[in-house]
Parts: sequence; structure tokens; C-alpha cells
Amino acid sequence: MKYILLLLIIVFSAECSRKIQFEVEPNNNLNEANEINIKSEVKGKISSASDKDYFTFTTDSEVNVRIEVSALKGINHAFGVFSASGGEGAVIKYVDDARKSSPEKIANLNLPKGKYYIAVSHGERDEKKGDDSAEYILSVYPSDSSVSEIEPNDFFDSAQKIDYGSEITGYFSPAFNKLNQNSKGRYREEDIFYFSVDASEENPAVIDISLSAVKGINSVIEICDADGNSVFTADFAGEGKAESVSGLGLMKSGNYFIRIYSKSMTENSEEKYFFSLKKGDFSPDRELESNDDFGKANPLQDKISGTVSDSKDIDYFFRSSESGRFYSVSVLGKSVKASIFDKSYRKLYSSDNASGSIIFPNIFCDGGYYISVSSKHTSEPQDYTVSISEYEAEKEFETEPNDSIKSAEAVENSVKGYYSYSGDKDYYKINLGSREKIKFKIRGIDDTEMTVSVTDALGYRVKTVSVKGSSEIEFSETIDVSAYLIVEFSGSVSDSDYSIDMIKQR
Amino acid sequence: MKMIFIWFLAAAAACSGGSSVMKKDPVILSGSASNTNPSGISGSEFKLPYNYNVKLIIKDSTVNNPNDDRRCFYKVFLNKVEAGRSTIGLESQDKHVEFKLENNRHLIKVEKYVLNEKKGSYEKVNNIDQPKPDFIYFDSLNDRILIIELNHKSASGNSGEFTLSFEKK
Repeated sequence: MKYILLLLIIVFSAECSRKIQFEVEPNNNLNEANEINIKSEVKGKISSASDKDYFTFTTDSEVNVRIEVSALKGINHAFGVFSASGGEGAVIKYVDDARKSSPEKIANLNLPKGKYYIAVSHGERDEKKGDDSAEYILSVYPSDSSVSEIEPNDFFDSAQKIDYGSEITGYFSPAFNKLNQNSKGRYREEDIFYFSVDASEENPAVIDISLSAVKGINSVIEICDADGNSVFTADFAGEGKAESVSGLGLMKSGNYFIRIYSKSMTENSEEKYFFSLKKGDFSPDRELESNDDFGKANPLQDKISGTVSDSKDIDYFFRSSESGRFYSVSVLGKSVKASIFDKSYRKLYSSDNASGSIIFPNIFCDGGYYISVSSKHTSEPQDYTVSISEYEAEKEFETEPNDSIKSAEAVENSVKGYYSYSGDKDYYKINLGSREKIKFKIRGIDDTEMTVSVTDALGYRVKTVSVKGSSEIEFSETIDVSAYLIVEFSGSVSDSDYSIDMIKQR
Repeated sequence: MKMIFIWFLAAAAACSGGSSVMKKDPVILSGSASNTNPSGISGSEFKLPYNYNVKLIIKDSTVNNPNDDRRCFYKVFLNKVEAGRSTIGLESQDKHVEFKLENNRHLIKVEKYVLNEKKGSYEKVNNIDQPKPDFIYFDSLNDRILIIELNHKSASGNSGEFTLSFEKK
């Protein structure tokens, strides 16, 4: 107990004896700047609306520094950093979080050997008013030695190079960059990196990027080409979650830029991010991002695998098709949804089968069709595989879409069909030309319960029967010249077919 | 004793070429058999059977308000086996169904179905709203076409009035 008390006294005494240098007014211009050192703190006041305090220090070699100005109650203050060689007009970094009573800080600023100035003044927001009683503390310290980000890296021409396989450590700091006048992200603090690509359409470069989670930050990764055009944006995860780009395919050689920023312009000067770039091998069996819309759909032959990052990520594929053939598409994935579109982008089928297996057993689309895959999860990446089988079309098979009376397919003596997706309905039109009694012979599908309804000429159900599994049933019903058959399903989507035979009775 | 009385009524109807049997009276019609004529023409005043020899016609003369006039049909059971259904029409319209039956006594029974537009399907109406009686016994002939008319008066107690006749040339 005695030792603990002694220790507390020593610590308290040390704290009390910590002497912080006070600014020496006047220091209101470059010539009057107070000299400070790295690893030092200095107190100051913003005494009047126009008061601006200048401080200067010299670096003997390249150094990363952390600069912080403590909060001033009721005042929005700011500081700018510039070099002696560039002058006050060439600000290296201007730090202003546009808030009252909050500290201004930059976690990491790279300064080559030279002389630098820091100017502390009012910020741009709120009324400028001095307060002679409130003191701020300006501190300048070397930043964490593990940081490899080189600030300022806020623009394409100051972008920092990142090599394949390497990892860069940096900060989402400061909150704003008032020098950023880009209309798409005005005042947004961005860290920009670049990398080189050697690729062609036949042999695309496959890029993976990962960015670690940082508390309070909803991070965004944007990839731009050499002209600054956005190629892909990853904004899948929410606040405090890691972000990534997986399997981005780049088909043109040249430099590409990676822009990292906090979506809501929040900062975290304490927790570092870890950012890495990897180059993979191109495989036609693996999706290439970005394939997030019809125009960027990946070509697909027989099989392809991919990953959807979250519910906002949609992967598109295009399969060319021939007339007279039909295609069975299966999508295997734990928690994914899939849809089929024709060449006019009209949705034909959609399924989010919970069992992890989605089958679209009979796709007829002259010229080709699109397949989209998305995740049912909001944030967890989902892997999937799309497989396609091609068949010679048989005449008696249904032609989707036939999901409504309007799209009912005319049938005569028999028809075969599939339970194509969850919620599928098949409509058929029977047109006999006279009133006839018909015997219907129906064969169902394994593990599926089917109901078959015969309607009147207007489509109102007259008789409904159910068929369980692959059993066969027969029933008779009178058709008043014309009628519809409606086939509905429950149970598992299957690649087995059902059949309906219609025999006229005397 | 009761059966004899019923037979007497039906036989009288057959002899006169037409009969009306009201309410719950079960009906038996009898007649003599003869060979069918494929041409459909005979020397008598009655039309010969071709595709059918029994025709059931059902209508409802008591429905006059369009709002109450529902789309409906009648499912028909012959000798307790489902044999088909009538055409579909408004309750006020004639609906019919034809059968070709061998010479014998037969039982015909009907069940009324009306359209539930919300559900998109026809539903059997409650027993209390079915015609009363909903059946008739009759003897079919293979040289005449028996017309069984059921006037289902749904708006006045659901009484079913059967009228029997032979189709004339």
C-alpha cells in the first residue's frame, strides 16, 4: 500500500511538473512564427476573430508526423501545414472538421526533409470570435512507425504506388479535405493509390483488394482507370466492417487508381487500416468483376463460379443460345438468389430457393439469355457456382414464360413441363372447337406436389386435382370449346419433368 | 303403395309426351326400346337419337336481377357416378348436358356450382341452396331423345321442378 501511494505521488508530481511552452505573440505571420520541435507541445490562444498563430519546425530527414490541436470550447478552429519552399499558398494539408469544441488532428502526414509551418486559426464554419481565456495545445509528434501510407495522397497526381502482394497501413484521418473540390466528393478525405496492369480482353488481370475494418468507419473502395473513370466501387459492408473487391477483371493495360474513403466523412485517428492488393490468375471458370449490370455481363459457357459480397452486389452472366435448343441452368450456393432474363432484359424466371440449389430446367431463348446472381445476406459474402446443360428441344415441352393466362401456351394432345423455379405456374390453353369430354392423364414430379386445374373459357377454375410426387392420376372433365390448364407447384424445384396427356372421350 | 303412385305419374307423363313433376316427387319414366337409327330420322313425330338419347336442361326462371345472376354449372352424377357437367352460363340461362345411355332405368342427380370471382374458381353451393329435389329416376329409350328439364327456382325456396318430354322432329 505504501509503495502504491509513493508511485501515485511520483506520477502526479511528474504530471504537474510537465511544462508546456506557450506561444509568443506576436506570431501572426510567417516571419514571426514560433519555433517548435517535433515531439513537442505548445499552448496558444485564438485571441481575436482575425488571430492566426504561426509555428515552424524543421525535419532533418523524411518523417511521418501526427499533428493535433486540442479542442477550444465554443470555437471551430483549424490548422494548415505548408512548407517553407512552397509558401503559404501551397498548403500541404488543411485540417478543419467544421465542428465547434472538437480537436483537429491528422494522424499521419509525411514530410520530407525541410522547413515547415503550421498556422492555427478559426475554421471556416461558424462566426469567428476570439476567446482570450481559452487555450489550445498544439502537439507535433512522430506518428506510428508501422504506418506506410504517405499523406498527402489525396489526388491522382499525388497517388501512392502499391505493389501486388504488399500491404499498406494508414488512417482514415483527417475527417475532411477542404482542398478536394471534386464535385463527386467535395471536401472528402481520400487516400489514393495506384498500380500497373498488363492485360488484354483475352487475358484479363484479376485483382483482389482487401481493406480491414476500422471502428466507426463505413469504408468505400473505388477503382478508377487511368483517365479517372470509375471502373468498380465496393461499398458492400456497413460501418465498422471490412470491405473487399474480389475477382475484379481489368482488360486494358495501364495504371489504375484505388480510392479509399470514409463514406460518411467520419475519421478515426487512433485505429489503423490495413489495405492490400493481390493479383490472381485469370480463369474462364471464375467470374470477373465488375459484372454488375447487363452491359458488363461475363460470358458464360458451361460453368462459372463467383462470389456476391452482399445483397447489393449482383453478378450478371450472358449465355448465347441456339434456336431449337433448350438449356438447364443450375445455381448452387448457400444463400443466393438467381434470375433469368432474355436479351431484351425482360425477367423470365426468378428464384431464391432456400435449399441452396436453384434450377431453371428449361430455358428457351433465341440468341441468348442473361443470368443474374445476388446474395440474400446483407453483408456476408456468398460463393456460388452456375452450371449450364444444353439439350435438343423436344416438341411437346412447355415454352416458358407461360406464367399467366396471357402467356398461356396452346396445347393439343399432350404437354411436358418443369417446375422451373419457386412460385412457377404453367398455363396452357386448350382449344377444341366443340364441347368435348376429355380424360386427363397426369404424371407428377418426385418430391413435388402439383395441382392441376381445368378452367372455363375465362380462366376460372372448374376442377382442381393434386398430384403427389411422381404418381399418375386420371380424371375427366368437360371442356366447353376452350379452357385453360393451370399447373402449380409446391416442394422442391426439380429438373424432372411432368406430363399431361389429354384424350377425347366419347 | 307409394312407389306404385310414382310409377303411375311418370308413366302418364311418358304417354302424353311431356310431364311436369313438382318439388320433391321422385320420378320414373318408362318407355319401350327399339333399334337406334344412325340417320336420326324416323317415321314418328319424335327425333331419333344420334349422339345422345338423354338431354338434361337446367335453368332458373326466378333470377331476374343481373346482380344476383351468377355464373354457374351443374355437376351431373349418373347412377351415382360423376358423368360430366352442364355447360357454364348465368343462372338465368339454359345450361345443358347430353348423355347416351343404354335402355334401362337410371338415376340422375345434380350438384350446383357457382363462380367465386375472388377465388377465381367455381364452388359447390351449400346443400340448403341445392335444388330440391336434386335427382330424378327415369327410363331411357334408344329410339327417342328424352329431355329432362330442371327449373331450379333458387329465388323461391330452391324448389327443383323437373319437366320431362321427348325431343320432337
